[in-house]
Amino acid sequence: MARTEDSSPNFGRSVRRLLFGLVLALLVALVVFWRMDGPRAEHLRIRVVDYVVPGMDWLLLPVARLSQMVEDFQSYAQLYEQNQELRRELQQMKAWRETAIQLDQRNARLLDLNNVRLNPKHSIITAEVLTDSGSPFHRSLLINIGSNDNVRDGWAAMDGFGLVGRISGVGRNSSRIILLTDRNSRIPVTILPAERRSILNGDNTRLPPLTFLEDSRNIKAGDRVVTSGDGKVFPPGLPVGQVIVDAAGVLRVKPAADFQRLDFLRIIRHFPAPPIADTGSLVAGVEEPREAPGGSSAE
Amino acid sequence: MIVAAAQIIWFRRAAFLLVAFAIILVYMLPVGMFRQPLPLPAFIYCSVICVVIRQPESVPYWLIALVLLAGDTFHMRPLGLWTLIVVCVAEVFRNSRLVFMGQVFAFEWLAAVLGFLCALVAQQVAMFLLLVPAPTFRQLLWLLLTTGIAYPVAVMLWSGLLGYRRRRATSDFTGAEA
Repeated sequence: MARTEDSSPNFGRSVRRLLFGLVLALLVALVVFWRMDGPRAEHLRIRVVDYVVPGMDWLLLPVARLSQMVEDFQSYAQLYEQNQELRRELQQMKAWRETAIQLDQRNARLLDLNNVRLNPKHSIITAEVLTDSGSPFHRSLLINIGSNDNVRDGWAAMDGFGLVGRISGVGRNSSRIILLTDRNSRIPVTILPAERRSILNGDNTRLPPLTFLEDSRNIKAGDRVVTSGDGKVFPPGLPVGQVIVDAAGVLRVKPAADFQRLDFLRIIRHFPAPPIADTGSLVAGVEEPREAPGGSSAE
Repeated sequence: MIVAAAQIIWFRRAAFLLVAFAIILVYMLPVGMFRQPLPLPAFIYCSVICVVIRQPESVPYWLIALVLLAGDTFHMRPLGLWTLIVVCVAEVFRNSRLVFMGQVFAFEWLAAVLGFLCALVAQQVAMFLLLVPAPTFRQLLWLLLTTGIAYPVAVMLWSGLLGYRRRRATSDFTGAEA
């Protein structure tokens, strides 16, 4: 039976082989292109996704909503326990709220006394989550706003509780968000009471580890982790999560964001302050004055 | 008669493309990525192998490349790498499909899982050579397991439900048109 193929040497068969080789060569070229010119390849990918996925809205959203309804229905089963737990939490929260208000007022008074100039508040855009990436090795999302809404690469994405990730790839009507748990995500963070700088290093697990930590002596489980603003990608002070210590003694972060329910995300508009490249004539000497007319050099 | 056969083949190709795209889209649904404790199986791989053994003319190599490339694009994998590997593995299965004739299903199942293992090893090696961060050994092991479990499901879907069944040996003609 297998002989029938070989015994009919025809022209089509050799053409087929040639074309097959061509397809393989093209695929190899594509992989090499992706590796060598990553940003352009990702741009190409985001263009394709941007073209296809918003058009699939009508298909994707109902199914997703349906599955959420099923889950919500399942959670009705533990309604009583949940209610009790929520009551307890609410009582604690009321006490905390009172404390927070008092601290806030006190903080405002002190800032006023010291004449502190505050940064303008960051404004936000709210986006709806379109899709997950289906791959088990990547943690990313697609949201429904893009360059039409002036979204830029690198902006932080949060849910109501904490940092979710950052924008990485902007199409016209969609953008990709790489989650802070993704293997490729590195976020400079500060661990709060101890003021230690560290890098939150995604590893595709739900509890990413803290790396590049010089001194972990004063850090305990439960410490707060916020963005440090190093690298000028994120604004400082966005809540990220809490420190936990795993069985092997590695410091990890339990994200504050609820990754199980990412329906809507806040994208934080962040325009980092322009870098001060000029050293100023007072320090650098006057023999080489810069030509910038607006430069505020102290003559 | 010949025209009708060609039409059926093209219809089957179109149906494969459509269902495969539907599977890719299902994988992208935003339904909580952390609720799944295990990686989702590589269902597209299972579909390709299952159909290429049964009806090789319904899934020519370019159709496989198209579907896998769409998967790479939408699932944020390295562009083209997994496509390249699966196209090669599928060609191996296409050329040796007559081996599976008259054998028990377990044999085909084992072969498909072994093929997947080879594909994963090839992907790991390629990622290592390209200096791309590769998934860990443990994740791959789980993926192998879930994909192994998913293979009979894929066979049930394609062969049982959608009718991509093996033809009789006498009418087994090659898809050598291109």
